[in-house]
Amino acid sequence: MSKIKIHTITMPKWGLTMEKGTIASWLIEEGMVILEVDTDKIVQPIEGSLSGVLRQNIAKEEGTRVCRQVKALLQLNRAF
Amino acid sequence: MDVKDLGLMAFAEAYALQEELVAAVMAGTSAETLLLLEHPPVYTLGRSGSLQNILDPSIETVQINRGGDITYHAPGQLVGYPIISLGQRRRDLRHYLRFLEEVLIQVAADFGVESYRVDGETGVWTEQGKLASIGAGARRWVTMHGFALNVSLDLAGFQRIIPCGIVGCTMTSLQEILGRPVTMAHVKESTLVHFERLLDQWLPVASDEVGDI
Repeated sequence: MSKIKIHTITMPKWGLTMEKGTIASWLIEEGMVILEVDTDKIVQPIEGSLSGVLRQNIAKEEGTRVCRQVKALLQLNRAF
Repeated sequence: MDVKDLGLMAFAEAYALQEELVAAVMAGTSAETLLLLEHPPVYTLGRSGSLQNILDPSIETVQINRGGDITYHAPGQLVGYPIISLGQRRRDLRHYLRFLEEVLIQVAADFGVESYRVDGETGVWTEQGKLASIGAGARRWVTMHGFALNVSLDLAGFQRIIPCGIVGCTMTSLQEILGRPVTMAHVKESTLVHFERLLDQWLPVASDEVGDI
């Protein structure tokens, strides 16, 4: 039996005044770098600290999300 | 903090240098660095950029990993690329943008030009138009890209695009506002003084970290 662990990726809150961020691009093919977030006029990628496969991309469309909103479910490779 | 005055440098070359420095600052093998330079004429498009903001289809643009829309660089514009470790200072991307604006507002004031922020429109503005553009990127909280302050460049280059994606946005320069020549060396000197002073005021090292990794 495999144990499957699901890790959620949420819109980060990069600072006290950040209320929302835009998913500038999904970079899942790149492996560790998952996606980039644009807030105001500054872009930073979210890098995965865990390797895994993208199980369900809840926010498929690129667009603005409020901070802490769940964007995707990541299934860990290690769980297999 | 190190400062490198690169003079006139092609966009691609400066981009490669930034990538090297970001990696070195991340690895702890280089000090934080402020790059000051001018670019030969080039149009760059940020992550939220739209090709519809290019009015002249013959224009070639470089698409890059900074925030913001399309802008124009040319000699006579002071470009600043701060490679700063926000992870060791303050993990707040938008506060960093407000810091860059403050530096440029103080520089303009040194030349007797009054400038200000416009809520929701990152950059530095004057009664005569937009004086400086800001668009940055970060990786693991180490910044790259930065600001472009119009000193004395020919503003005609902006007329082939919709700068920053804002329709009706008029670009101006220190020289245009003052109606007299402004030298790049003076602007660089003023920028360096205010950047170094305000960096530790706005983003002190080892303050309480807020925000996610």
